[in-house]
Amino acid sequence: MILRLRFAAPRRSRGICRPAQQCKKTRMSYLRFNHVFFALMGLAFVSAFVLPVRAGDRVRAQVQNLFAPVSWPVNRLAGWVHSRIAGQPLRDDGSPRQPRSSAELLIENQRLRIQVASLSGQLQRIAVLESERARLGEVRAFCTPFSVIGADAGPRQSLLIAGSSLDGLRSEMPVVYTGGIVGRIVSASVGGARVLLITDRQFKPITAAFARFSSGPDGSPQFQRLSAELVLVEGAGDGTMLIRNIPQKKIEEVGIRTDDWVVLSDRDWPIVLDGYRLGRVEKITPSKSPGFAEIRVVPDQSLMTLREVMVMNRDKG
Amino acid sequence: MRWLPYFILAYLVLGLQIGLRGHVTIGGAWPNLVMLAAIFIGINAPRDAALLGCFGLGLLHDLVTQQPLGVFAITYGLLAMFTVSTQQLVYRAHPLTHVSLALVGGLLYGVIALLHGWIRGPGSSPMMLFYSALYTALLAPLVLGVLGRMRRAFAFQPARRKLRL
Repeated sequence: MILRLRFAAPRRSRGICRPAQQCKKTRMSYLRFNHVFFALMGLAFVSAFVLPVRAGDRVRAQVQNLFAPVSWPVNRLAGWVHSRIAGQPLRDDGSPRQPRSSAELLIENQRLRIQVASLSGQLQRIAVLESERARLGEVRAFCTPFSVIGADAGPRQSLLIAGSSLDGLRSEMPVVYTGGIVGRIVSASVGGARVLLITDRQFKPITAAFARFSSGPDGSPQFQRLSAELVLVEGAGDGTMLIRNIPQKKIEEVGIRTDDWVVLSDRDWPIVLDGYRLGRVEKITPSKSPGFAEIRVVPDQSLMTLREVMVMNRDKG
Repeated sequence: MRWLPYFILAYLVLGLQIGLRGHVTIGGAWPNLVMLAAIFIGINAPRDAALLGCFGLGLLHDLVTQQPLGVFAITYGLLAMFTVSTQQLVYRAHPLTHVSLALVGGLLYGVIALLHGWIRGPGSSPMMLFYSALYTALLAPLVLGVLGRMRRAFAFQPARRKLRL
């Protein structure tokens, strides 16, 4: 007991604890800290729920590539592991239900080469004749490839690419890959660039058409649009797209079925991308409104796992 | 708490989140590694540092997503308030603590994201948010277990003074 008293007394007298002063100071500092913290939370609330969605874009654009030294190698490694485990699904778009043999594909490939050469020749002629169509040609020629640093760190469908405004990237530039359309650049600055994917819910809906490869009279594959009417394709936010409220009658009339292509046909997009693939029909389900259906469209591969994209940042090919 | 290790952790975990996000998604559900780092700070750091640290992590996370600034900051700020209040009640090294806190954090984010979608649009799928919360919670023991081994670097509790008698 004595020992305890002796031990306790000096603590108070030497002021190690200094209960009265320290408590007062601590309470005060807590009060100030609480004020600051709740003010910050209030600001965050205003920013998230009141200010326009694009208010933070300027700040965000400056730091996009800041994390590239970590995210880029991690993304590459994860992509490599993912491709090893999951692999790249191969699909025969010419005959999705009964994939053809390699010999048949080789023959078709040869025919296609001839067809492409012929079409390219025709296009070159048209390009000379009309100034508007002078921009026609192979899409790749208008593009610059950029590596993907990583995907959106949150719930949105976007990609960070290893390019910036210094590379000539600007907002609204179309982005494609070998399998189709990727999206548009949503912000580009010295700090980096971000691509908003066509599968994001906030991506501006795209007008598109249905198309299919079918065999011609001579057996050669022919690409044909199924209907002149256009449909509105919007991002579903889960890596897919949706065509909502399409009349069931129209589906039957046109004969839309799974594995049909959905191709771009939008005046807001460059003419050179007209007919470029958005994805393929994965599922046709009845809509909540009777007599209507909902079509789910999936890109050729998960856009969030792309390792390289091509930005259309050149005026001439 | 030492702030240099905090910023290194924030940098690494955000880099990992950006790099892995596209590849570890399962049916649209994605794990939130940054939230796990926020929980780590929340359960170990002193009150003020925990609140500020989590809020800061949220703000940094907001900077690397396309959603409006502040959604993650509010979520992690609220999560820190909840975590700090439970610091005395829970065994901070227990995997069950990690799972439950991550689930609470994930659900809290889900509620805020749904509220945000409802007010400002476009809305998110509630099921996907739930699966994401579950995914994050399942990863929590692993990630927080690894982070727990680095606790010393953060000096969460200041060294006790030696009494001179």
